[in-house]
Amino acid sequence: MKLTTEAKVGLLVFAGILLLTFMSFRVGEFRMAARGDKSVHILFDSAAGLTEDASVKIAGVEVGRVEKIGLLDGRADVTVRIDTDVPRDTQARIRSVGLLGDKYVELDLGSAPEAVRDGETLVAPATTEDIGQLVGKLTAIADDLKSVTSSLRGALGGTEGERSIRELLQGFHDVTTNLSSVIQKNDARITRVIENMDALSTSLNRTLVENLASFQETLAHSRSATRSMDSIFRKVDQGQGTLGRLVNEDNISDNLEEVLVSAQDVLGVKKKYNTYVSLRGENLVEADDTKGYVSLKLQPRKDKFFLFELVSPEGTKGDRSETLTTRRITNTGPGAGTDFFPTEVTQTVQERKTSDDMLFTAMFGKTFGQTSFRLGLQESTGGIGVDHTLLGRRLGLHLDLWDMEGENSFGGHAHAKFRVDYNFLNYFHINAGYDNFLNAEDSSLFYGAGIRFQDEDIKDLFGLLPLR
Amino acid sequence: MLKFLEMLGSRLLRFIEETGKIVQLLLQACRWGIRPPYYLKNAIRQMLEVGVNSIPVVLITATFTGMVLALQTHTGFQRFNAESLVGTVVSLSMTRELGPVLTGLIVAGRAGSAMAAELGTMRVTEQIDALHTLATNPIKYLVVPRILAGIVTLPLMTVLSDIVGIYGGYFVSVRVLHANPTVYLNRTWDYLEFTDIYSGLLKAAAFGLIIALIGSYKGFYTRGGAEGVGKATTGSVVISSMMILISDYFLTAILF
Repeated sequence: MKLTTEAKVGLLVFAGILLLTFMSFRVGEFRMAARGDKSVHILFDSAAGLTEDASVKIAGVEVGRVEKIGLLDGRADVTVRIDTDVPRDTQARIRSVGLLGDKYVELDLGSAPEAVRDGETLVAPATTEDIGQLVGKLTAIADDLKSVTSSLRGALGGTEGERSIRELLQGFHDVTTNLSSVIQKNDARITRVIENMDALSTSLNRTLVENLASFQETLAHSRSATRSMDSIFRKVDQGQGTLGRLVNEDNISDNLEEVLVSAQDVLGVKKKYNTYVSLRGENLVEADDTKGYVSLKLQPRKDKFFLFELVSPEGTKGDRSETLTTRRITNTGPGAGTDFFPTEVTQTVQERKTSDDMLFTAMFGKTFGQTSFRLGLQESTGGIGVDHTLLGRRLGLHLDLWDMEGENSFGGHAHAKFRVDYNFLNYFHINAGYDNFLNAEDSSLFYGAGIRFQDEDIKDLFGLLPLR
Repeated sequence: MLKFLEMLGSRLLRFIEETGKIVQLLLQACRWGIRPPYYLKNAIRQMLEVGVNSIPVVLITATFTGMVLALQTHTGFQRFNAESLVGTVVSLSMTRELGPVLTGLIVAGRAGSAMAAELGTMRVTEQIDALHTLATNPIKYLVVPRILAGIVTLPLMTVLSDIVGIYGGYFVSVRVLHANPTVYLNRTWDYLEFTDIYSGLLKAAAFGLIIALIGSYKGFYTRGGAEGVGKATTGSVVISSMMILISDYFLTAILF
């Protein structure tokens, strides 16, 4: 069959268009590959190096593509299209293939029963440490080391440094020489001192033997003390008193356990969390007393925190039990018996116990917007608290309620405390408030100041852990 | 001194005159091209000449260009462990640059010279004047079909040379350099975009216009017998090759 001119040209046009379609299809296939049925938002601290159409992988298997990268509240909002179900608590991170390779999003599947739905948001965990950051850190460390060694070399190196070291050693030598000559000169006197000490210990020994009886008496006393301790423990065991209830009542211990489990959660599982360490002092004006606080606040999530505090006790006069005096006034003056002058006034006995021991606070907190609620141990008794922040977290209002039985206060009401603090220059805060205002006898205005810092070092240390 | 200045001046004047004539020819071709009657048979005959008959030489050029490109980039990329990107480089180079330009140069050498020779011979043997006397517009009858053929066939042949070049590179990488075929093809197509292909085709169309226009111009205005025909042929190849390379730069810079 002889091909005509027209047929040949037609064949060329046909072949050209066919191949062009083929190429467009191959190129287009790549574009259309991102067609998973689910669009999920992931918030990253940084999406550096990630591009649109980058892979989304689970265990190294591609399940979708990055559709869009945007900005949301200063974080990277990465929209991915995936075609499989992933649990709600799935964690995403940006990783790269090799040192120079492309970036992709790796999903670490969680264990939650329900799957992420179309259009939902996953929040990426702590800043992913990539090679670049690691190298940056190592470089910074190396620079620090270098500056230390160079300053050491500046101090000790060269002939001058050598001379100063030699002088230092010479000085040491002189001192030891002097010391030995002093000892030699005073040999007799030293011997006398030792003899005196010998005699002293002998007489001490004699005194002890003579007072053996009273010593035994002391022992007997302490035995009775042990017995009463025993009884205290028994009471605790039986659920009497605050401590007993704390140990025995299920709901309190459950709460505590929950706190501990969550704490374990925080420490065991790597999560982004902020650590705040603060020191503060308060001067109680009317009670003429001061209180000190050392506190550690762990914030595993934005809406959740644990507060641990060591609190110095009110007053430092040792363990004691104070009793408000009871008075009975009998009025026999003129007008006695009327409404204004009753014949007898009786004042009831009230007691409070104070202790010299450090008080301990361990609370679990949950934050809703600017308001947080706390629950747990406060100053060694069960307590609750509310915090509210204003003015961009600079001004804080705190209301605390603890010692519900009022055992440590005159008046028998729970210990309530209202505190306002104002933060400035990042690290400092001043505070003021009204302490124990439910108990008129113990209530006091107070003011104080403190410092607080976010422990960057600890944070960095934990931040390094997820690097695998 | 004066002679030198005269030479310089006459060169410039000739250049401007020639440019003007080319543009004039293009404008006339446009004007006559849109008016009936259309000499479609002539256009198809030219497409056969410019396109179909140039296919073997274009394919051979493209295949070996793709192969040598794979070989060279492999050598370079091996030095920093990026052998997997050879496919990307081959496909991008072929579609964006080498496909259209090499096809253009080959066709300029093969078909552009033929146009100049054919029209030049017609001019010196006064066939073009004869067309005039037959009340046939020679531009409409001779130049328009050639320009049409150039604009249509060049992109088609560029598609062929793109594909052939890419698979030539694939063949060398997989068979000779033992690259992973799946990775190679993924890298080839993953990084290629629509615009890469179509920008190449647009360039090819522009080159087709240049080849046909220059070839026709050189032939159409041939002077001086057989010697003039030879000069016209040489001139058409030289000028259209240079114009392809120069316009390639500006097209790339301005459009893509």
